[in-house]
Amino acid sequence: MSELLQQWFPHVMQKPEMFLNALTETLIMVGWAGGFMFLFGLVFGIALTAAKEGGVLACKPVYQVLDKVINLFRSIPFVILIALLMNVTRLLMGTRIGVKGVIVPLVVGSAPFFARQVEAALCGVDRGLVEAAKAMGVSPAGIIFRVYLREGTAALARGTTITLISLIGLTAMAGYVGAGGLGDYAITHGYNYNRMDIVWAAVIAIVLIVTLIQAAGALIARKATH
Amino acid sequence: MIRLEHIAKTFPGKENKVHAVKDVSLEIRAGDIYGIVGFSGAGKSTLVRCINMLERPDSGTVTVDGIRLNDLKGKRLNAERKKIGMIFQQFNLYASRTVIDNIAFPLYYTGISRADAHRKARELLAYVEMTDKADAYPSQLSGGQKQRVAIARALATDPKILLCDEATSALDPITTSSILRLLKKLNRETGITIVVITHQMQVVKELCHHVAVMENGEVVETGNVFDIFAWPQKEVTRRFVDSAGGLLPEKQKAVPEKGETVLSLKFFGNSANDAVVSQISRRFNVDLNILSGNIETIDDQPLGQLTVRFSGNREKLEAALEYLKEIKIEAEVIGDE
Repeated sequence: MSELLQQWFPHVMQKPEMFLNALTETLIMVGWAGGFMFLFGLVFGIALTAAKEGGVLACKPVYQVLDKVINLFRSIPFVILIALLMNVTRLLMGTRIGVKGVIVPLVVGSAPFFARQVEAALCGVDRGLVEAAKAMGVSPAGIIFRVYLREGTAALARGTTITLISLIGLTAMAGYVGAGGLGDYAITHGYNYNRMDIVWAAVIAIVLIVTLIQAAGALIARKATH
Repeated sequence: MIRLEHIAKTFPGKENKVHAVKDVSLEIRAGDIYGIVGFSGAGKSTLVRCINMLERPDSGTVTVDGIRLNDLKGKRLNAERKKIGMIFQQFNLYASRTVIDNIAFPLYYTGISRADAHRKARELLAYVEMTDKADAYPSQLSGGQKQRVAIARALATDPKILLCDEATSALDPITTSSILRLLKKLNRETGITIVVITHQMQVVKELCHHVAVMENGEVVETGNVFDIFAWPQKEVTRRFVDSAGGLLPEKQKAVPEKGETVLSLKFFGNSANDAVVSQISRRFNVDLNILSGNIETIDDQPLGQLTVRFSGNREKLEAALEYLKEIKIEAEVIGDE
C-alpha cells in the first residue's frame, strides 16, 4: 500500500502532513462556513417564503428588500467579495487572513444562494397543505415549522447538498487570503511546480468529500420521503 | 349557525378584476347538511373559504355561532377556526406523517399532551373505520381511505361545523357513496353542521337537506333539496337536476303523433308508489303509453317522474287531468298534436 502510494504520489508522500493539513483546512472551512451558511440561509429562505405574496406573514416591503439584497450578494464574484468584506471580516473575526479570515466571505458568498435553495424547496410544499393547516387554526410559526420545514425536508436536504458542494468550490479560492485548503495545496504546491500528483491527490480528496456529502444528502432526502 | 350577509370577493385578474363572489347571503342552520352546487368557476369554493376566513371577503359579514369572524385576526381567529373543520378535494394529508400523526396534528401545541392527542386520534380513526391503518403513511392509502383520514383529522378539535370542498370529486362513484354515508352518519350521530361544496348534483341528492345553486358568483336559487329536484326554477338548476338522474321529462323522445298528447307527470310522497297509470287507463278508458320514467328518493321522500303518451279524445283527457289534480299529481302537457 505504502509502496503503491510512493509510486503514484511521490511528492505527496514526501510531505504527507502537508496534504493532511490542507484536507483539515478544507474540512474546517466547509464545516464552519457550512454551518453558518445553513443557519443564515435557512432564516432568510424562510423569511422570503413567509413574506412573499400569499405567504403566511405576507409583507411586500420585507420581501422586496430581502429579494434585492440576496440578488446583490449573489452577483458579486467570490474573489471580489473577499476583498470587499475585508474590514467586516477583521471586525468580526479579529483577522482577515487564514482559515479564520475566509469564513466570513464564505458565509456571505454561499448563504444567499442557499436562501434561494430554501425558498425553492419550501415553495415546492403543496399550498393545499398550508391551507389545511390554516383552516385548522395553526399559527404562522406553526405552519413554518410543522408544515413548510417538515414537509420540505427532502427538498431542503437536496438544496443543502448542492450548496455545500458549491461551497467546496469556493474554498479553493481561500488561498488568496492564505487560508490554505486543498485548492491552494493543488495550485501552489502542485501545479506551480508541475507536480501533477499533488493536483490529482487534491482532486481525489475533493471528489471523495463531494461524494460523501451527496450520499448523506440523498440518504436524508430518502428517509424524509414516505 | 352560519350567516353570510352580502358577501363579495374579487380577485385581481390579468385584465379585469374577477368577481368570484357577488353579494351572496345565506343562512345555514345548526345540524343541517347544506349543499352549495355550481359549475367550476361559479365561486362556490371562494364562498366556502369565506366561512373560515381562508379568504377574507371584500365586503359583507360572516357570522358563525354568533361571532362575527370578519372582526377577528391572529389567535382569536385561529381559536374560532378550530371549531370549523375542513376537508378538501386533494385530501391535503401530510405526507411525512403517519395516519395517526396526521389526525393528532391539529391537537399538537394546544395544551393537550401528545398521549392524549394520540388517544383521541385513535378514537376518531375507529369512527372512520380505519383502525388498521394507524401507522401507515398517506402514500400507502387509496383516495377513499385518505378522505376518511382527512375527515378524522378535521374532527380532532371537536368542531361544530364541517366544510367539505369538493370532498368526493376525486373519488370513484362507489367510494363517493361510502364517504357520503360516513358524512351522513356523522351528521346524524353528532349533529355537526355540514357544508358541502360540489359540482356533482348526485352528492346533493344523496347527502343534503338544503341546497344553494350558484352561477357566476351569485346564488340563483335556494331551497330544500326535494323542492329543488321537484320544481327547479332556473335553467342552471334544471341542468343540475337533470345531471343527477334526469327527473325532467326527456322532451326529445316525447314527440306526439296525430291525436296524441304527451304528458309529464310528477309524483310525490305516497302517490309515487301507487299504480296511477293503470288506474287512469281503466277509469277513463284511455291508452297510456309510458315513454320514460324515474323514481328517486330525495331527502328520504320519494319523487317520481313519468312521461306518458296519451291517446283518446279531448274530454277524456280533460277528465283525466282533473282526476290527476285531485290525487295531487302534477301533470304538464309537453306535446300536443
